[in-house]
Parts: sequence; C-alpha cells; structure tokens
Amino acid sequence: MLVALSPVTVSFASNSNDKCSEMEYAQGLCATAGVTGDSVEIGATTEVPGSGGPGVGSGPGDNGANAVGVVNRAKSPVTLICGVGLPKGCKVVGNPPTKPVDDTGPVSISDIATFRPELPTAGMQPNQWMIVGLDTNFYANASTHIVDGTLFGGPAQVRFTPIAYSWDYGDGTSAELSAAGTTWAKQKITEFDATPTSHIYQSAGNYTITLAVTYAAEFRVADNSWQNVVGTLTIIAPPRTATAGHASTVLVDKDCNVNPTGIGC
Amino acid sequence: MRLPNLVRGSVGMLLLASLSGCTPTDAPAPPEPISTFVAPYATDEEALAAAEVAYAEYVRVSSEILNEGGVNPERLAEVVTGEFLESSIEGLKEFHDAGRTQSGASKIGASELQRYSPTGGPREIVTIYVCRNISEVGVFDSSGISIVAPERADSSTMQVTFDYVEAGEALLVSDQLLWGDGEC
Repeated sequence: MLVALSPVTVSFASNSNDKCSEMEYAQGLCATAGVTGDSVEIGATTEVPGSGGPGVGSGPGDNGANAVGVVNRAKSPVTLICGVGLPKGCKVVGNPPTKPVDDTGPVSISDIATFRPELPTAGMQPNQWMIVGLDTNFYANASTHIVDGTLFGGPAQVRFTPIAYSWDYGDGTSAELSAAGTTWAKQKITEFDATPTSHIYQSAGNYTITLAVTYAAEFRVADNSWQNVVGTLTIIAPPRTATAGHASTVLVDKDCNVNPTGIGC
Repeated sequence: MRLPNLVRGSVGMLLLASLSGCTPTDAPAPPEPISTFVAPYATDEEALAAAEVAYAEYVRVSSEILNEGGVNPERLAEVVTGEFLESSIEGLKEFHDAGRTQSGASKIGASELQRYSPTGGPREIVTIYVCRNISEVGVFDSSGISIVAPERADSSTMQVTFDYVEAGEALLVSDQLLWGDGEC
C-alpha cells in the first residue's frame, strides 16, 4: 500500500539521539555517523497524515519507499541533501567535524588529551651552576605552537599557548611567573645581573630545578576559526640539576692578582 | 656588572668541575602532566583488550534485557554509564511498555583502537571501532510483526567510547555511534 509522503516533517536528532543504543541498533534506527560529504543519513521524525487502514506496519517485506510511509516508528533514517527538499544553506547533522562546535558545548582539555604540546625546557645562566648570593638567570623555552591530530573522528588542530611558568628552585622556594624570561645577552645586560626571572641561592649545595609550563589551548576543525578549550594543561620540563658554590671558598690555581691569566681567574 | 677576580676565579673552577664530570649526568626524567589520575593500562594493547572485554559484556547484558522484553532495564548500569545510560534505560522502558520483543544474538567481530588517552582522566579514556553483525537478530511489535527497518545493514562498524570507573577498575560504555554500514 502506498501512502502519500507529504506533508513530511523532518526534525534533526539532538545530540543525545546521535548515540546508538542496542535497541535502536537492532531495529536499524541508528544514524550513520562516519559519513562525509553533502549527503548523510540522519535520524529524523517522519509524520504521516492519518490515512491508516489495513496493511499498516506490514513489515520488512515492503519496499523501501513504501516502508517510510507505512511503518509506524519514531525514527526513520532518511537520506537528506541540502537544497533538495530542504533549505539550501541547511546544516547537515552527522558530519563529525561540526558536532563538537554545535552540539556538545565547550570542548574541555580532556577532550584533547591525545594532543600533546611540545616539551618545554628550562634554561639557566650560568649553565648548571650558581654562585651563592648572585643572580642566576632562569628562562623557559616554550612557545605557541600547533599540533595536528584527530578530534571527534575528524582532522583537527590544537594550538597551545604557554601562559604561566612555575619554577621550583629546589631550595624550598618557588615562583609563579607570567614571563618566560630569556638570556642575559638577549636582554642586553651583564652576566649576573638581576632579571625578571632570576633567582638568588642563599647556600651552597646541589639543587634540582623544575619548571612546569601551563598551556592554554584552542582547537579548530576543518577551516573553522579557533575555539577555546576549557581548562589548561601543565607540562613539566625535564628537571635541571645544578651546583651552587660560595665564591669565597673556591680554590684557584694561583692568586689571580699575581697571575691574572691562570686557570680559574 | 663588574665582578671581583675571586668571583671570576670561582666561576672558572666551577666550570672546570662541571667539565670534569662532577655534576650529575643522569638523563632527565620524561615529563608528565600534573594529575592525580593514574593510567589504568600501560599500553594501547592492554587498553584495547580491556575495551573488548567490556564491550562483550555490554552486548551480552543489553541482549539479555532486550530478549526479555526490556524488563528491569536498570541492569544496564553494570555496563553503561552517564547520559548514554539514562537514554538507553528510557528507550528500554518504552520498548517494554510497547510490548516489543527481540530474538536472536548479534556477533562481535574484530575491533581496532581509535585512541587511548592515559593522561586525560577517567572520562572517555578509550575509544574503539568494533565490527558487529546483527543479521540473526529480530525485533517485533506486540503483534509479533517485525519492526526492523528494511535498510538495516547486516554488518556495521561501531565507534564505542568507554569511561573508566576507578572504584570498580572497570570500563563502562559511555557512548556508541554507528560509524558505518557494510562488511568489516
């Protein structure tokens, strides 16, 4: 029996309905998610005016065109093509890259867990040693960069931006800095000068210096604009070990005033 | 800054000390994000194996409930979590209230790891693709008439995501999508 298909109301499945329960799967009601292109199968509600009568729900023996009209079920997979019976600029639901933006709300840092920022490193001047009472210049090697990967089943990019630098100097003190810092030379100042990121050790000994860089993240899918990711990601740089010594207790080969070119002078 | 000779001398001696190997040369430890979450699986292979076990259990429990007409759908909480659990139970209640029944068993085929995120926390920790065959499963309304959609494919690939439950050290299904139809 053929039933007129007009008027047909099509309502797009909400996000929760994209999920495919075993019950829906068994009945063949699940929309295919992994389809790309202009035409996708989506879950839709089909309403048929009440012509009723014998033969309604006559089962899988019917052909496809018939089944859409006569089988009484809540969701019927229908192939929809934008511009064909639907507004031309309509948005296709089921195209994976558009889902995180439109359907699932903010993307959080756990969603991009498979994207790892580049490893930051800690730099220090002098390299691996300090003089007690003088400034040691610490700086972070970390910059904004983009990582490619897969998000929600489609190609995506995540842009990591370092926003905070947490230093543990290993002497019981630490600092939360918003500046990465840089070398003395780049700051055009003399060695052992104070910098916004320098630190002074008060006693001799071996220290382990640990830098943790906190990144903010944004993501984009296809050629869309960057979207904020909720949360931040903190990565610890490889720890540095260094020795602090007292200037007054260091032995030199000869008195540097007598032999200014001697070892250590 | 002008430095006294003594200081410069000390700089030189410390430099010599570091050059002569007095400073530790251990390779730095690999970095780890700050988190209290401990990855439950050491390798991708372990994660996939655990997901396969959890998915088989999901299919078994789901099938049991459906083959009994949808009674006691809360049983699904053993294998499903979150919003997917709520919507699945709701669907099963409707299934039961409408007097529908299901028969037969589906088959689970090969699976493949999409991703394992050991450091991202327990939510959505593993996602896999898994092949299903449902050709022997029938679904009927209260009159015994099949309500299987004619376009239902025998074989399909599912994308299944799991949450890790630390208390029970188990994976529970938190999302399932029909990824594509056809042989797999």
